[in-house]
Amino acid sequence: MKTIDGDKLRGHLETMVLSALERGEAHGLEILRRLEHAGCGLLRLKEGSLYPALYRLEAAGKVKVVKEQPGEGRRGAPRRIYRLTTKGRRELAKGREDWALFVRTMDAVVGGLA
Amino acid sequence: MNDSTERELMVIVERAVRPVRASVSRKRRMREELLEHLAAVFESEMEQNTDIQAGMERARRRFGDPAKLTEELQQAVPWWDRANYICDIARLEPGDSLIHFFARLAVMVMTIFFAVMLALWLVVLPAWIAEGKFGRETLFVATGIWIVGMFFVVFPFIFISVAKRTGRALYGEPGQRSKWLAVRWILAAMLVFLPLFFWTFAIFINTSGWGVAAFWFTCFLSLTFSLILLYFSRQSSDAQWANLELEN
Repeated sequence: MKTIDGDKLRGHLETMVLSALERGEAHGLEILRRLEHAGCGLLRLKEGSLYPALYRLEAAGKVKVVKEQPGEGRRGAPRRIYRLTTKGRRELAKGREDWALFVRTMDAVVGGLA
Repeated sequence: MNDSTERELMVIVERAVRPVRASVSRKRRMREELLEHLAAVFESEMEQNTDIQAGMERARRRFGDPAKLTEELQQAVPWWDRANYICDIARLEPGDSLIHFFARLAVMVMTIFFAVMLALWLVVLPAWIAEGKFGRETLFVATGIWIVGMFFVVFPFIFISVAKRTGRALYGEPGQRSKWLAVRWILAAMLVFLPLFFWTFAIFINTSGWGVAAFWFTCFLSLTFSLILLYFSRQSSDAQWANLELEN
């Protein structure tokens, strides 16, 4: 089965992350699982790339971070849980509009529907 | 997961994070978060496979190219992160001693104080020149600024700079490590501290009897500062990560 790799997702990763967080707060690995699940196993992200995207979103105030202290069954550094902010929700709505426009346009050009 | 496996995972993370130009706290966060993720990826790979090296290789592939990740991480560092250096100084980290913390805090507060004093002085100076007001008052302010500046800006600046370089020479990357280089940095620090201490105390005490005794006193002070510097150089290096050897 053909997969969609990271290069094709460039420019969309931030909207994808916001979309994953719309389902509720999550840490990095959980965000990735949600994306893979939503992509029916066809998305092949370079997993390290998720974090720069999260840091950019955090710096822009679109997500905020809550630290989860190590508890029972988990040791090591505090885990960071990412949560969508109001600004992030607005950005997601805008991202969806942009995406719909992009799909319509590309469909007309590449899909030969025009 | 055993220590050697964790170390291998740390090396993968460190290859991406070490070249990033960012504050200590930001890089620490990157390291912690990426390591946790990579460890989880490795464990999930090991659930399907019993060969550690094959699991490690797959985890590495899923993680991505470190050079590319460095680039992406660097782009995610905001321009104001350099100001976070101040927050790093003022933050009480786990394992920090209170003396260490308050010393950093004092340096930061006095640096800000000195900057404000200097700015004020530069604002009033032109007016004082115009009024021909260059008497005892000006001299008093200038002496005050010199002393405050020396103790809380110049000394700490030299101290932190040399401590970092000594730390790198002692605990940095294997190729950069050199005990002789560390010794040379300590000697250089002593040679810089000595005249600075001497002149500063000479201005402060302002007596003719301040000769040989001052010399020995400042020798003692510069030696003490250099030894404290050695201690700080170890404290300031993130030894666990800094000691990782990144060669293939």
